Amino acid sequence: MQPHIYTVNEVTTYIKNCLEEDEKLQDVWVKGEISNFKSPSRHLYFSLKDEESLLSCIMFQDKASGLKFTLENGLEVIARGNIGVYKPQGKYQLYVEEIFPVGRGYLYLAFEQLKKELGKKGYFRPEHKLPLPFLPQRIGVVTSPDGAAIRDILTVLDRRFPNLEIILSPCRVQGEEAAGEIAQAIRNLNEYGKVDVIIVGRGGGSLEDLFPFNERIVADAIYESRIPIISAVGHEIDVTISDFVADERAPTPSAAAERVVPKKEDLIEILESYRKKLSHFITAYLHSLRLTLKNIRSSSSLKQPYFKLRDLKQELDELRRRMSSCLIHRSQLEKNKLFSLAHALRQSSPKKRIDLKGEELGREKKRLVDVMVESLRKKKEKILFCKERMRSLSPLSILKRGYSICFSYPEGKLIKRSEQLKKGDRIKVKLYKGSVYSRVYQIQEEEVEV
Amino acid sequence: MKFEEAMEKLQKITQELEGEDLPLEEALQKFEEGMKLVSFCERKLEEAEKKIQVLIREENTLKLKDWKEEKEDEC
Repeated sequence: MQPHIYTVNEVTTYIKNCLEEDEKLQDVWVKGEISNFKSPSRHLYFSLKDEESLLSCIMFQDKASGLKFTLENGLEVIARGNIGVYKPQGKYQLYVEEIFPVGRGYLYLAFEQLKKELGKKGYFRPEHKLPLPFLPQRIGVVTSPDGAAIRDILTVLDRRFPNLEIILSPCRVQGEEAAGEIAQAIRNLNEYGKVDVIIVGRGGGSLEDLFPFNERIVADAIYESRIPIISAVGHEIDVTISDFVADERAPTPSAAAERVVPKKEDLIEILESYRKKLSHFITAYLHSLRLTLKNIRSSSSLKQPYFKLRDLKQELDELRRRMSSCLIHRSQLEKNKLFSLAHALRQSSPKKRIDLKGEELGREKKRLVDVMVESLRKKKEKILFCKERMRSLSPLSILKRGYSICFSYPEGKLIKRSEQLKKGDRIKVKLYKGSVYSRVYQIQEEEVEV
Repeated sequence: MKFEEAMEKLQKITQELEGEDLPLEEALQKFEEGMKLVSFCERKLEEAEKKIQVLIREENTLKLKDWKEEKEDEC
């Protein structure tokens, strides 16, 4: 009996059908350690192994792109998928749909891996952090409208600063959709633009509950925000990726609210202290000025202004004397020079030279005269200047500064004391320009303090 | 001007008044400016009005809704 001879394809197709028709193998969970991991294209190739066996696996790009962590050799995982046969290589393998690190570890793993990656990308750099405003006019809050966080935040804000504007950008804060909604809520506030600071957070919960705040999409939204963000997720002990990326981290939503606004009473107190300081200063300052003024008024130089005038007169005389002696000396010098020049001229014999010298002499002479005239003009100017200064010191110029002189009228006697006059007397007050005639209606004996 | 800028200016003015020997006119001017800044800051503190609103996206435009009204609607 001739045995039936199958082609390779027939055998392989048979095996393929056997495996792929087995329902048990079409949705299977397999636990093992990753090895031979490679990703030559965007599909992932690896094996799962335990002590005794090895199973080839492939994860296509459309499934792999949803992974929240990166596969690596040695990692203990659970993979779900279906067994199939790749005929060209006669190879059966697991077509992976989903894969998780063993146990809850994958949450930590995803957290650590994303933290490392974002750290490398510079998401946590201090120079990227925006400063929180000192006194925000409007505060954005990204959280659930039904959660405990919003209640806590509103309570604290109300206590610290009762008249604040708050804009809630609502989102779910746990579950599959939460991360996307949180990111969108942050972007909405950025698009709206009129808030000065954003609080992003939620109350405490399990690691899974807080996990949306560990997702890349949220990290990106926080990193890209142009408005400073304070992250407040869970309790003191909970640390999330959001906390690292945010401009500031608060341990709880209440703490974030406290960090965001100063206490109104404190600010009012500070302002009050400034007001007091300013008033106190200006009072003291004016008092000291008044004292200085009083001292000046009683000083001798004001009482006898002519002392100063006398000194100036003497100085002027001295100047005049020095000037004329200087002038005499100078002209003597010039004369001597002229004599010696004339002498030299007489000594030089050739006619031409004599003529030349004669011309030179003429020029010298003219220059000499010019110099003399110029120097005399300057001296005259100087004397005029001195005269002008003298004039400015005359009593008339004092009138120009607003003082006035009072005479009795029509006698024209200078009035220096109020006792010289009585009620009804006529007086003439000489001003800088013109005079005023008036009649005394009241006499005050004592000087009144200004 | 922002509140904190005004506060900084105020601090500078008080320091100048206390530290330097200013002529009368300048001192009076600074005093006046300082007092103005104090009332500006006080006004700024009272300026905002307590209001809680909810930012939502409807047909791709952002809208503000009153938070309390929304709560009442739900009830």
